Amino acid sequence: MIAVLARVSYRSLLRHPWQVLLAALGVALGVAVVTAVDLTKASARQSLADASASIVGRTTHQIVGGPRGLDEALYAKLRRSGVVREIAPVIEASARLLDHERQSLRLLGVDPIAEAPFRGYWARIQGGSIDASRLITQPGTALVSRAMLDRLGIPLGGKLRIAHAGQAAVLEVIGVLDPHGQHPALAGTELAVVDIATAQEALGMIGRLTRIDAILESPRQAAQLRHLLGVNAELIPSEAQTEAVAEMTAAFHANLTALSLLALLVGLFLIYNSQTFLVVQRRGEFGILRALGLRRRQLALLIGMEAVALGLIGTLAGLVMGVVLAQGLVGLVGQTINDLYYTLSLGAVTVDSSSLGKGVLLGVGGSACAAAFPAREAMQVAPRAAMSRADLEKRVSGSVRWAFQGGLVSLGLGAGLLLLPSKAIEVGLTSLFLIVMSFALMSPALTVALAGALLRMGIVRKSIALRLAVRGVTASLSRTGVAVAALMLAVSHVIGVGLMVGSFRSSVVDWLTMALQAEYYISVPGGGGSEAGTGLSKAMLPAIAAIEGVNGLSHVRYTRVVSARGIDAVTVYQLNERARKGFRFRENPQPATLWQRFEQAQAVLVSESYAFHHAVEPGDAVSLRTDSGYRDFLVAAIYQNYASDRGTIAMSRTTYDRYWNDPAVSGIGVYAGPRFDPDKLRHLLPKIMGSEARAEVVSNHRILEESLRVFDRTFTITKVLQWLAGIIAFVGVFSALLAVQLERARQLGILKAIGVTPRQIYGVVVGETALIGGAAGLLAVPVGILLGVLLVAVINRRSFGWTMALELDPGVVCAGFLTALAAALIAGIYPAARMARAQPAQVLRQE
Amino acid sequence: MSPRSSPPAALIAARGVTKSYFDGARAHAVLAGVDVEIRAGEFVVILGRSGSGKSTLLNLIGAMDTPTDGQIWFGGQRIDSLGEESRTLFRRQHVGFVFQAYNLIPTLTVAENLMLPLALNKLDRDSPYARVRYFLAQLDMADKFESFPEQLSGGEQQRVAIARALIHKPTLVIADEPTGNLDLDTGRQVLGLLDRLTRAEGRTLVMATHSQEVIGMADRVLTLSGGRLIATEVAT
Repeated sequence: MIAVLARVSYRSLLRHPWQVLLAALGVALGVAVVTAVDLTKASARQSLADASASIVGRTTHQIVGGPRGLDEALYAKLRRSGVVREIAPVIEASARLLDHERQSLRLLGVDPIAEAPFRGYWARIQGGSIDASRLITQPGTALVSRAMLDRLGIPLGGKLRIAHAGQAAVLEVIGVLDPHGQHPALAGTELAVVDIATAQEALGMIGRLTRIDAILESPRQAAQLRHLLGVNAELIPSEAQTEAVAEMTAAFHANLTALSLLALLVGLFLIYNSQTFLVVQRRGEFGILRALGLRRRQLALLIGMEAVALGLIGTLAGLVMGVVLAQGLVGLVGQTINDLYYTLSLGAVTVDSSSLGKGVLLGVGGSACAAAFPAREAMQVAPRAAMSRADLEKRVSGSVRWAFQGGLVSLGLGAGLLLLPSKAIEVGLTSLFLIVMSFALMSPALTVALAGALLRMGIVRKSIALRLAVRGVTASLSRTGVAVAALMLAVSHVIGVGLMVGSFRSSVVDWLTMALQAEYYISVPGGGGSEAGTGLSKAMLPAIAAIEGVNGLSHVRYTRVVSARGIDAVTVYQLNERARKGFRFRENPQPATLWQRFEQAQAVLVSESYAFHHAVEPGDAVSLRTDSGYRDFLVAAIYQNYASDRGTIAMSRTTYDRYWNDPAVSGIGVYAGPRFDPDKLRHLLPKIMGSEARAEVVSNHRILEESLRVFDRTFTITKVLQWLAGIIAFVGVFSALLAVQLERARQLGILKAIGVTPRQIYGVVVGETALIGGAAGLLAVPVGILLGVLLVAVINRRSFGWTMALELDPGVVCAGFLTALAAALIAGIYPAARMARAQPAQVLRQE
Repeated sequence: MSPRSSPPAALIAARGVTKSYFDGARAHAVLAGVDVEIRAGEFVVILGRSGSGKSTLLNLIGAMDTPTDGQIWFGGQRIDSLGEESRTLFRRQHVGFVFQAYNLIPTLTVAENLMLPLALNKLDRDSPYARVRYFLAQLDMADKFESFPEQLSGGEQQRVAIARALIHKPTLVIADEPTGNLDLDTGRQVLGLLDRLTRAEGRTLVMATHSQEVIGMADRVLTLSGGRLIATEVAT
């Protein structure tokens, strides 16, 4: 019996090769997008964890100091004390690779003698052929990871030119940390290990350490060590460091999840679309089988087997496509992580089984679930009715109302979730999913309403061809309804994400234009300038202020401070009147009293992201570890700042100098008058700085341009996902239109028989497709705008804590509508041409 | 028999018409060298078993298809050599079709189905709905004006199909097994209607059927077997 049924399935599917191909492609594309995004996220997470593990190793605790790091004498003191046997000094910084554009590495300065117990790869070096003692005996030498050496194409003995905080240095590569790539933690890490003295010299940190790593065996030992450290340094668990790295990209990943969920929704619709067509198209055949005595559950088995087989074929293709696609996405994500968060190389995709499992579940499970609805339909109706297409459409028309009501319920649930006083991104995502889904469910009813309105229009009432086109859409709702929903979803995705990115960009431009009050900025090249013990000297300020045309200066220090909540970013400002105008506050506090409190009363400002992530409001206090122990600082106001999604605390230089001994600055703002010559400043700068350190002078326009370049790079992946969703919807619409037109072959054959010309047939088919595209486009406009509002006001707010105004760009909205129309019209070309070419006698004979 | 190329006196003439379908390289002739002449205003019935080539001959006469060999003349004009567009315009103007499966457009109302040939022939300028109402009244279906085909019985659908075939006053009406899907009584009514309306307006009617009952109504009966014309009888 099963063999006969399998033969029925096999031969029936063979008779519809295009439909089968499109169904498999539908499954494959849906699976590919979801798998690719998941693999990309998993690879990024794994690489971050590996990178963090390669730095942290077996370290249980870290001893950290203030913004200037630690005095190396502390290490000697701890060694002598004998409280802890396993401690190791560390200097860690991110440095730019001068010969490789937009690439950087993590420089890790260690003591080769103390290092062995801490990081796993060190044990191999000691047991292997590399003589690690050369790091000590030969200053300026480095060991690098195999992955990095391969990527940069540098031979052993080659040179690495690096820059950090205005310091340039050359490192000679004398060995590979993992010669056979056997250390997974190093696979995606751009890491160079040098002797502590080499690191101090290269980074300009003579006599200083970033931290001291320790392996502690008991809480008692920790207590003893804390006692020994006193107020000079802080002992923190090493997980804090690892968690900080993971937390850095959590919001970015949450956003990526939101976008992949939208792609998943479109993908699920496509799978449903494809499977429904295949089942519905064969209702007649199923009716005959039922008439011959096939039981309902046997029919269910037949349809289920087909769905699973097709789902499996599509899934396998989708997984392969997903891995290939992930290779491309990983590069984009890697660039963003490097631009915004952490020095990391995402070279290859980590193909993990859980991502593949999700793909299989989506493809095979989704196919089976999608086939379940039409299969249930075919099973429940009487054999005669199962053969009737009109009966099906009647049932579908009946369920349109139910779908609409279901949509209203889904909309209510989604809106209700939004009203919950929750900051959880998951709640926001669920609400977004429900709201978008609600419009998908309502779209068939709205399409019918739109068609009704069109039929009442004079031009449609006068033209039978137009009436045929309009009625053709509503008469085939079992196909066109899903196609409209899928296209509407994809286009609303395009509009919503387009509006969000546009609004975000415009907010960033506004903010930067306002924040960059100075005409020129002096900063240290090669990043850095914020790590412990690095930066520019405050001593150079009077000399710069004396240069002709300089009307005033402001300066800033970026640093990280241990707080009661972990490690917080602190931005220290020395502001003049103009610089203060660069701040925009959330609750319009009195500027005069605010700045007075900021400068004299030790009040701090916190960025929106900081306030959001740490639930801090004006009037609260933040507890920071100063050079003389913990101290509370009152939060005076919340200000807008898009520079970091983890947030920052802004503090006046006066307050900072009172509690921390760190005379460095990270950047200087130069307020220029008409006679100012930036080239003169560039020329004089080395003389003023009086050392080998370098600084660069950059105009505010250049900073704005560079910031927007980074912004646009960050959103490249968003655009890629947008396009992928669009392609998925296009395939869905194409397959729907093909199915509709193939099924209407008889009707079109009759029209041709009674004298409708091929051109007029073309017109009818194109009219239908235009209506599908137009309906999807019209519905996508409000849904897309709503999606934009949700992404801006809920998802971005709950991911990053940023507020921004929605900018309703008519260009994005119009482009979305035209995309829907164009996609439907293009998808209709082939079915229209095919129908126009068909011979009526042949079509009617075949039918 | 080699086809003659001079125009025939009859309204329709098929000369040496062959129609083959190809199964790979193998040709299968559905019609083989058929010669037929039909005069204007005649009611001709084509009899034959399934697969004898009745529908194929009707498709060729109605310019729905082209022969593999031979000539087809209509009103002194060859239609077998017309291109797709010209054949479409020929059908639109000169032919009305009645199919076994009714073949009404399901998305159009009864009135709109009848309007379709009028609109295609641009005959819908002056009070077209008056003509539609007149025809529906003739069919005793005036109350079905706004109904959709699925709301009608089989007999009603076929009556609308007959009206659609005649409303634009075609010279030729082709009916392919018009009673095949109907019960005996309804079939009889439909045939009566078709005969009455075509004769009343002097149309030529060519009908393929299995039904012996139709023979009594026809002017002439052609019998096809295995793709060949084996008998021509004048009805008495």
